[in-house]
Amino acid sequence: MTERNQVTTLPKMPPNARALLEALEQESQALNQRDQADPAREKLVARRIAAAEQLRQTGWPTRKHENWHYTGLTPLFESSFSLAATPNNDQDPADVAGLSDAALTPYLPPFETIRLVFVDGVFSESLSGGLDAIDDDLSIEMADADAIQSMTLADLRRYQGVQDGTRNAARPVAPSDAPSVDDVFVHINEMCLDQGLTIRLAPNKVLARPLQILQLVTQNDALVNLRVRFELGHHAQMSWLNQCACLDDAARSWVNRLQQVSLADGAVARQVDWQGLNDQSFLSSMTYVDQAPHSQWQNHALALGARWSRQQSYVCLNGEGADAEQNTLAWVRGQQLTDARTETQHGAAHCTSRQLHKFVVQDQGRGVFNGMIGVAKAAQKTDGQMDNKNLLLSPKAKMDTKPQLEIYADDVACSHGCASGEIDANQIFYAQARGIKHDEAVRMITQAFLLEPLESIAHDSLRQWLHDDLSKRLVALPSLQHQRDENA
Amino acid sequence: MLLNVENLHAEVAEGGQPILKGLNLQVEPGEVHAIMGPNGAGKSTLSSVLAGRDDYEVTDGSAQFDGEDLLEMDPEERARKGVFLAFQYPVEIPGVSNKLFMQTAVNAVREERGQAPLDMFDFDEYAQSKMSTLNMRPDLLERSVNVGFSGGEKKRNDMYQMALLEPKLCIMDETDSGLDIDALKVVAKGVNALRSPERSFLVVTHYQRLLDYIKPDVVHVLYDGKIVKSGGFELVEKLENEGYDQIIQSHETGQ
Repeated sequence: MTERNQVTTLPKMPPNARALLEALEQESQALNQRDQADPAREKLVARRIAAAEQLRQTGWPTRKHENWHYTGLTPLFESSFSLAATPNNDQDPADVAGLSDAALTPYLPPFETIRLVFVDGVFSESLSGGLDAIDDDLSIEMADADAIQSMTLADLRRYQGVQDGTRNAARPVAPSDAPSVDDVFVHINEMCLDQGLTIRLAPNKVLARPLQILQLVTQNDALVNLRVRFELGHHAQMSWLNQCACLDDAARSWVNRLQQVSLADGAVARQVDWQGLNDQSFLSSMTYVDQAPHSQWQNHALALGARWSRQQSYVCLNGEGADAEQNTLAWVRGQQLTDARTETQHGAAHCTSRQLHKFVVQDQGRGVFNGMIGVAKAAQKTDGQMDNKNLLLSPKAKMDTKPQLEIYADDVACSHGCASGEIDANQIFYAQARGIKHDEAVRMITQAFLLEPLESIAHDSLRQWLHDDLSKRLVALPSLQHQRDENA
Repeated sequence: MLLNVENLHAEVAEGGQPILKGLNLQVEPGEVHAIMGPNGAGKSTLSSVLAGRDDYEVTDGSAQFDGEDLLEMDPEERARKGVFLAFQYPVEIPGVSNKLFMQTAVNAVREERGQAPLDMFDFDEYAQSKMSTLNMRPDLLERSVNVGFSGGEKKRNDMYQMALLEPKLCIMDETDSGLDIDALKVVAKGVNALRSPERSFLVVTHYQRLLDYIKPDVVHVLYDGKIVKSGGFELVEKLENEGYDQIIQSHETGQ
């Protein structure tokens, strides 16, 4: 960006949308002012300025943009957000927020982890645990500039669009850092970038304990801007559990997270991505996964909370024999909107991808799924499957789904499907005829439906713990009978 | 009297087509009654109305079960009080294990009887004890309810559920339709194994074949929503030789 002084005029937009955009610009400028005297941050400042300019050029997406038609941003504009305040003088954020270990209890699995706890995006050493299990093969950097230097927009663009094994043949656009309205949350992540978390695992190292990355949000009207990068060396293996939760049910927050996962030859990474934000909060999340030959990526996303959430994942199978599994479990209720999107690009031969995305939608909830499998010309013998199944539990619940295939190779086995419906009345009656109450039958059937995407979690006690947590949450289902009667 | 149905009238909830038109039926504890009749007579409707399926609306008459008004109860309440419906087509419930399903059901019935719920271990023991009676394969208990079961396995599972719930009244809703002779024997064996002086059966069937194995105490012929003839097992043999025509004719000329 050489012409950084030239300020683009904003596209036309509603006053509250404009207010939020300008508030974000001010946040970005404040970071830059703070950093202007720091030579180590010179590059970062330039990147923030460039990203702010990009946001200015694209503005916000509207319903006229295909990828945003079902995921309007209006609820986000109803609030004003500023970057979450960070503690001064290396104070532990848990002390500032007045948190003790008790706050962690609901989020602690019944097995040992290496636990990294963040409060409003800032690392809390006092709440973290199991750090003694970190050895030389595992590096965890929470520092700034160096760790995030490599995460540029042009890098991310490589994940988008069908490739012919080398470069984008189907959409002949060279990767660039040109702004796009589809990347509006990427631009925001970049312009508000401050701290980054980088986790590296050395080649051949198998990490026995899962890593637990717990993001706790406490502040009201706060934007928590997260940038995380995972790098696994060849034949390294690790699993991690992301958790995103609000400690104050009344505080409204916005978590904007960008994750990158880089898997070298034969590396194996398993992620469980759990979000249980409160009903006021927002989550925008982008995950970019880059897979070398014979690497394995497994992601189980559990979307249980947030007023509005959009989780987009790009998986690039760049090396032969790579394997990716992406499953979603989404429970959408009240006024929630939950959007899950995957773009899986098969760029090399003999790769496998499996996807099962299940939504249960009740009340006036809205679910959105958009999945795309792209197969490049060179990706012969691709085996790609994507399934989206949705259960609608009330007449006002809504699901918009769009599974897509784009195939340029001729010897592949790919399938995609989706089905949305209600619980079969015969199933409920069958249970009732065995003495099981209507609501209990609904809960039993719903839970069984919803748990299927988790079955492939290999870690038994993790899977069981997630099951139990979900069962407890589904106690909220008995309002259904009432709901059904009201709508009848 | 265990079941006392008087002047029962019922119609299809959607559309209002009358199906049952003044049906009377009395069942004493320990008795096995067979309900036979041609297609469209109302056999399945009778089972559904007694079990509480909301596809049908009762417009007149009454049904007392053990001295209580059966028609006022939700389907689950009827089941808890001891009414069991064996399905013509047992329903598949993916993802719900047969074991969890039946543990929930058994504990629902126990709650009604004022008994403490069975925990996982007690239920396992109880489930095991009922298994041998019906030659139930143990692995079927671990699988999802009826998912991937053969026709015969589904019926066996229904009979097994019946054994676990120990009902007072078992309604077999054309449970023999579409079964081969081996599966038919499974059903008959199940019924015979569970017969007791306190337990009654209502065996609704289109065919006499099943009755050859079960030997009912009372046989009723259902036609046009009413019971038009009742008798002993000899009525089954009569129907086998002569079909329904003669009984229907004499009923219609009698009107």
